[in-house]
Amino acid sequence: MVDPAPKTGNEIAVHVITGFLGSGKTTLLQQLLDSPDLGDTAVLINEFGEIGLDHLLLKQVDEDIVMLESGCVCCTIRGDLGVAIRDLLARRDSGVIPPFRRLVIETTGLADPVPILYTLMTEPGVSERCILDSVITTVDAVNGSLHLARQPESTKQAAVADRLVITKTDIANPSETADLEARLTRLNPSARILQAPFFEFDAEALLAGSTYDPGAKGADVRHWLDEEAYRDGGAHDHHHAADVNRHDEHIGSFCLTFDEPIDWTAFGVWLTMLLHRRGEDVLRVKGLLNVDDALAGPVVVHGVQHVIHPPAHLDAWPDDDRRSRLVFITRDIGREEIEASLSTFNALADADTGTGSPEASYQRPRTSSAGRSIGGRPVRRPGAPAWMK
Amino acid sequence: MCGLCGALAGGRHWSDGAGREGFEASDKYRTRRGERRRRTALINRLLAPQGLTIEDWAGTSYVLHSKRGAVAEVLTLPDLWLAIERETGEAIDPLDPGLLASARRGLNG
Repeated sequence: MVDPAPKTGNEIAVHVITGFLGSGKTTLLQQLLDSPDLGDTAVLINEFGEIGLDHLLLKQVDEDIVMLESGCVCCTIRGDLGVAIRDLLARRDSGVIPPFRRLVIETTGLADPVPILYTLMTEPGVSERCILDSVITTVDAVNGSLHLARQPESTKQAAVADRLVITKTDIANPSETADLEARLTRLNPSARILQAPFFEFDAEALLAGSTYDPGAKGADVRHWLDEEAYRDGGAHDHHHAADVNRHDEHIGSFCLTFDEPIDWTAFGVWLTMLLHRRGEDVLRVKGLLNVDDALAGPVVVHGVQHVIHPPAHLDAWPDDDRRSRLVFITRDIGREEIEASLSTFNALADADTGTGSPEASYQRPRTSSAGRSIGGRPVRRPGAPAWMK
Repeated sequence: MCGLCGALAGGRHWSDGAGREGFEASDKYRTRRGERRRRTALINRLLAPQGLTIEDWAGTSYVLHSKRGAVAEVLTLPDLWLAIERETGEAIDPLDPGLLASARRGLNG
């Protein structure tokens, strides 16, 4: 994956809304579109018909795009998502639609969200201008536990989420909701969990608190840095790690903490190799890394399976804690395996000496002048030809 | 493409740096060249037990060498892992205890 340009801070924040069939995704979208807070937002949905926008409609821009009274732009995805986003951006640039700052994308109920994230992070014309802000997954309080138990897609949607919205809590038994919340916390401790009773909905609470908020003060970061969520074992060696939380026998989550700055070279080599070979099983990786004490802020790394979002360097730390933290949600990969592997790669980088300055690694080119040898045969200064003597 | 040497420009991979300003403001290793040199050295230590080496070519790509000569030119690290797997016929897995053990033996030796 190639990041063609550094991030400028002017990117459009993208929120991907996913969730199993009947989990309340459409209701959530309706509530979002009803909200006056969505004035600077474009929403990509599957079908206008499903949402029912007539009462919100301001004008129809064309067959696929409508403007709502709140200023929100709503657009249907016909076919390829990358094409839909590029079309939307082109219309934004040409002034046909207002310059939205936020993009919300609805996925279909059975969809694996990873290909959508891949499009956002890698597609030319999209990845340079968009930054994935959050994956929001709706889970139904009544049937969510059943879906998680029986449907691998549902588990994956919850595992890759940054925010989990438990819907239909008004018609669910409170103990069911509490059980589901506990289950989701075990599956994905890094995600913020919001409850959405049918008529109490706060669009700003749902969409705010980004990982990329200035100064990383966002609620998401604060949440996934909360080591308590991973039941920290409290060991105090070079790097110590929290216990593995098991959702079932396959999916686990853990947080590694490093007191010393992370060696970026070793980390990059290690993570690319890990994702190359085991990307299918690394459902989520998020990190706030101290790559150098001299830098003011941390580097945010986050990825889903084979896809890593271009790392962003933040201007400031969210708090006084300068330790690096890495959160993993994995399938059949244990904390110890990850720890042992990363520490070996770090040791390989530490063994590197003297390559810091160009001079240290500079080697004079080999020459084949007189006094040296080529293939064991001495090179002699050419004598004057006989006719000159 | 470079008009002088014909080198294809290497795209920026996420592992190349955490934002330009972040790495240029920092210490001696954080220039792009220095970072690539350091990375090449690390990978060579890792690959040594398999008889493979890489070299950085013009700061834009990596050339993979086996004992029978140069075998591939790649732009990014994921491409490199793929080229190594093609060459050796085996998966390269950072969680493989065998790979880690041979890397540690190389360090101690």
